[in-house]
Amino acid sequence: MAELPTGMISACEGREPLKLSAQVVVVGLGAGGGMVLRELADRGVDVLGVELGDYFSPEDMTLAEEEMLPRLFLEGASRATVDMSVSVMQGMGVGGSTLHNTSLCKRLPQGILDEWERLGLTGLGEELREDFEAVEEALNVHRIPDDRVNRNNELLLKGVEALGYQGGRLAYNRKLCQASGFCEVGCPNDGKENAARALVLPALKVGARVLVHARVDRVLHQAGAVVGVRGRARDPETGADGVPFEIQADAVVLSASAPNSAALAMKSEVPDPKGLIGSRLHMHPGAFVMGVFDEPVQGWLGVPQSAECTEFLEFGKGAKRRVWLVSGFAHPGAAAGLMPGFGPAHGALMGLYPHVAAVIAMVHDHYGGRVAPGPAERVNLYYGLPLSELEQVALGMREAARILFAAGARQVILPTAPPRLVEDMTEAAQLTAADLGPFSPPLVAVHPMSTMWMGVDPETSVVDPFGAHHLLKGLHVADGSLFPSSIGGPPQIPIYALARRVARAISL
Amino acid sequence: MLRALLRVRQRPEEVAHFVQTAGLVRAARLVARALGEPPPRPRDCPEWLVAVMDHCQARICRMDAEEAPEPREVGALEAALSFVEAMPASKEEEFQSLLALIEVAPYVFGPRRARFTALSGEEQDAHLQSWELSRLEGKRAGFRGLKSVAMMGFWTRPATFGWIQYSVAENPGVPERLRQEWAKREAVEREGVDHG
Repeated sequence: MAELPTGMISACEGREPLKLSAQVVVVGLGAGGGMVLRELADRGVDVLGVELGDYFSPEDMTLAEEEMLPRLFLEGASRATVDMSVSVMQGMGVGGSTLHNTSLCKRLPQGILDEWERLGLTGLGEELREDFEAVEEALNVHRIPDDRVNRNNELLLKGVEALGYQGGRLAYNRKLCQASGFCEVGCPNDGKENAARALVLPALKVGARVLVHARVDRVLHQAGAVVGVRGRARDPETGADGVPFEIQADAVVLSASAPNSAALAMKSEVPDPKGLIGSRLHMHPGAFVMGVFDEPVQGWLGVPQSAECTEFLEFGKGAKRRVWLVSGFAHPGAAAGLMPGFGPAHGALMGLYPHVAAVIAMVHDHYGGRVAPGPAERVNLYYGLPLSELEQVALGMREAARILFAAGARQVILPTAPPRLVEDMTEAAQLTAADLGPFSPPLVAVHPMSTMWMGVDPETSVVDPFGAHHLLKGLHVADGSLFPSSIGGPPQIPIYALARRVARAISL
Repeated sequence: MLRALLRVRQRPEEVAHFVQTAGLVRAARLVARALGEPPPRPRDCPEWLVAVMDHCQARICRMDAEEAPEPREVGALEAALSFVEAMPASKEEEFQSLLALIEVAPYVFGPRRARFTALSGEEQDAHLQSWELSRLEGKRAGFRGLKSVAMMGFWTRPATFGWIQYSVAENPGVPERLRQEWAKREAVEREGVDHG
């Protein structure tokens, strides 16, 4: 385990219950929490960040999937919807999901901003543009250079171009990237400008404090105002509970991710007369479609994700096509779990691994599930895709197959149950929502959001347009929970930008 | 158990979830008692459940080719179990409980009335496939969890990398220090299989 930087302590260090105080406590240090910590520290506020997971230095990244995934992901990388049909991969540790994401950067699309404006949200124009610009500068966001597009992504671009679809290269936030391809199991080169590197460490240098290995179990409040938080130390090796801690504070910022922030608010009995908290859970469920090529693809070499197709991504209430297509990749342990079947048939498919390019069909979901607290950091995610969303999954899988064939795939693997290995588009085009259902295909979600959304009306939203809870003074939200709808793209930059304005609006 | 069930708010998905978690654990305890075996024990998996995992992994990760790595020869079981140990204790208990149910499920679902670990390899395959393609969502969920863990244990062993032409040691983006460490690991494990 890494030596902790100055200003960071482990809740597991002592044997006595821990009593601390600060002006502001930030719960969770991913993109949102990191940004609030940095902004408040820069303003000279006495701010204390609390993080469930570890602090990682580049030397901690061993590149062993089976070791790193449980350390970098919530619930030991086993989080899923309650029916297990959607794996939900969420980060844990100082930096949160920015430790394992592929650093894709996109602002909120205009279609989403228009939709949110129609809901009455204000300050989404020039003001938010300034936040986006400031974030992009601080995080070194830039278009992914040509020489960083690996073969897996080149093939997606080739297919998109051949079909005349909309799409292209994305932007990312990296500085020291050596293109190892290990983004998702922890970068060994410190190549990303993630929240830990770009925000938390600089915040510590100007006086912020951080408590790691600490699980907040309750937001304390009395007479309509927050007074602090309490929780327990969590052993980073065993996950066992340790000593209790309590932190007095004038304000609490929830930035522990959409599921965990909402679950914590529910456990804390935060006022919610309309029962809104935890509902409207969106998560961009995605299906992997794999194309087998004669040439070697070796998706593990180079930057894993750099290309997208937006041809089928429409916004607004009546949108008929709601799929974001983006390149996909997983190292062998996780890839084997996604490859259909088992035994020799599965082994034969794994033999194709170096020749496989993958496209993820991610649904910009209109359906909303809900969150309920589970034991300790576990959260129950109720999310069962209705037919309208399965139709989008089917559309995405068909179009992913079309792109892969257009790029030269000789075969496409549609991971339905039982799997379909199709040789041409005629076969793939037959896939419909009726062929899909739980576990067919296995779905993966990496963007849970919208559980404590912004709005102007306390009857229909949880927090105001600047993240302050409508009813409980001193409670703020600064993570993906804020989004009033699914956003149809990578959420890190929108989270950073909205968290920046949440921090700006906190007055003490 | 009835009292706990009544505590769950009466939404069908919550009842289903209760059955899949607390219900699963309780059922596994009953199974253990009936078999005279120790119950699921997070962070200290009982031997009989280790054996179930071993049998499941051997079939799930089996390949036909003569030169292919064998799960039992490459340390896949240990890797899978330590992956599960890193989950929250309650999740690990549910996973062990799943193994307990797999062990006795052939008494109900076939292919013949015997413990899973007493079935032949072909019978075990048929039984696992009945979970994979079951009409019961809970069984499909169980199979997905089991398969993910089995695969994570097996396909992360460097001895399997040659089969898929994957290598950490030969990745030019990996820092030299790690490339050297992985070169040793990959060589040792390849050797272990070659002479295994």
